[in-house]
Amino acid sequence: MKFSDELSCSLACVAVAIGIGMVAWPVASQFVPNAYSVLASKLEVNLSAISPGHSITISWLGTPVFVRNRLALEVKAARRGRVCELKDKLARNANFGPSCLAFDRNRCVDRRSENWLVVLAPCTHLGCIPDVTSYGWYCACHGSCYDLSGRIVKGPAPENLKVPKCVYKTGLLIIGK
Amino acid sequence: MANLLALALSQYFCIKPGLTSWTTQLCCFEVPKHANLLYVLGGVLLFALCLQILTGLSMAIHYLPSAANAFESINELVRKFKYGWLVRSAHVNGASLFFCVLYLHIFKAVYYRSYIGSRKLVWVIGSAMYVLVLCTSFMGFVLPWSQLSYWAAVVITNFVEAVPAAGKWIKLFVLGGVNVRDPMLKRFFVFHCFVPFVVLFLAVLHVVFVHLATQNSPVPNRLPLHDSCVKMFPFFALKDVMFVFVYLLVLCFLCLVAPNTFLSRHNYTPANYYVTPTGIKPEWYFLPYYSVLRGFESKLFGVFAVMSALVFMVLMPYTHENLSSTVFESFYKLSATVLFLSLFCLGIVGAFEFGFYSDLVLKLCTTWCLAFFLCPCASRCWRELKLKILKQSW
Repeated sequence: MKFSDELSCSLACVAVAIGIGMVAWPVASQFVPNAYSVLASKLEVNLSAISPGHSITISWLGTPVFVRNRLALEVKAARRGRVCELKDKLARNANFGPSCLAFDRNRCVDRRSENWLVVLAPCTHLGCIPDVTSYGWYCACHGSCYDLSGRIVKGPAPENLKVPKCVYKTGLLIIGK
Repeated sequence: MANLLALALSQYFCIKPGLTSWTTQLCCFEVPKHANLLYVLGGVLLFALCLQILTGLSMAIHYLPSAANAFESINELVRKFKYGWLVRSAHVNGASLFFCVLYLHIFKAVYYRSYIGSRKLVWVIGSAMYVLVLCTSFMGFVLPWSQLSYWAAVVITNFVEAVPAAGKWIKLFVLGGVNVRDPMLKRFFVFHCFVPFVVLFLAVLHVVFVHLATQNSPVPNRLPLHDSCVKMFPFFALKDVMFVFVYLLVLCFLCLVAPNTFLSRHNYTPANYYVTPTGIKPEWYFLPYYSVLRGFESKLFGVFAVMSALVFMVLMPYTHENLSSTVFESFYKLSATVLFLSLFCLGIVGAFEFGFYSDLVLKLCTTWCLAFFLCPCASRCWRELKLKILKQSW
């Protein structure tokens, strides 16, 4: 094969590759949503409806969220354990820094309202919704147990339940940015 | 017209070396006399695939791929249209029966070593089809948007997330959003309708390559070749047809007498995003994979184990090609049987909650599967290493 033939052959190959890429890229990209479809949204929750010791499940951006009004007894129980014994030692709280440790006071919405606990409901293992129990949460899918602070104590889940960005005003909770 | 078509096809296939003509291939293809009942499963599978496509397409006419309407549309098909219940039942039970026959077919190929020599490509195409069929059936399982479908989708997409580096991106690609909702349902519907035709195309290729390579026999080289074979038509073609009827009989039994054998009550509850039903488990044909996936503490290891099992399966013709003069050869058939028994045990373990004994069984069975795939490789490497050392010392 002459050099000019080789050159034109390889040029043609490059052109075809570019052409395929230009078709494939948008076709493949349309599977992924763009930034606008995952808009941030705020959700206001009236807390006066939740009496102490109770918990509700609400939907925020399609994800279930637990809002739990803990009894003083339960807060005390949650603060009794030692962080160094936990499986996941980070607070996973969007309101504080990412390196915050999983003390119960770092898991609350803010430090004045220690009875309120707001966590994203999906189990950090495989996304099932745990059941609310007297000692915290229990995920029936694969047996993960979370304590009264939403921290993983037993089972396959790798992380504590996540705390979303939220603001507490007396009697009102605003979830989201 | 039919003659013209046959002529065109025969001319097309005549170009390929080794194939005489389309019609003579069908009539005069020679099958070993020893071919037992396990050898009819291929034909039955082809029929079952066509039946699934037929019932599936007729369901697709009624189905609405949206989270709000999917469950109700299936319900309407069953209740408001003539024989809708039969079509749905045939599709659902047909899928389970299809996998039943498919696993037996794979067992046959492993047991009689039909994957070596000139049939390597047959095996590789077959295993590619198996992976595609697994994906298709999972997507089909999600479509009715029942409790079980929804939570199966949630759990499996969370497993996908564990893939290192690309996991988050693949998950976004599959979900088309943050949660398991409409976008995912729509793409699953499209792929569930489209992939079976790819499988059908591969099935035709699979058969063509079997015809190119001639058929394997359960008792190789026992008789002189001209004596050990009979014509495909009418002997084995009729046998195939007979077992297609047996398949239909079992399917009829399932549809008409026990339509909910493979279903639970969660299949009849619409998806609820706030409550996970207790005791969820996948369809029975996924159970071995499921028990391995959840058996590992880390998700990554589970995903890695399942992926490597599939890769080992595809590579089997190359790793298990030369078993002669290894210890493994003498008890190959026994170990292949134990492999399938251990997969069966894994399935049983996957159906129940974890305990001490199930964990033990899981570990034993996984070890056996790993050993089955890796021992021939290891022994071959060992032999070659020994030869090398011997050569050097001389």
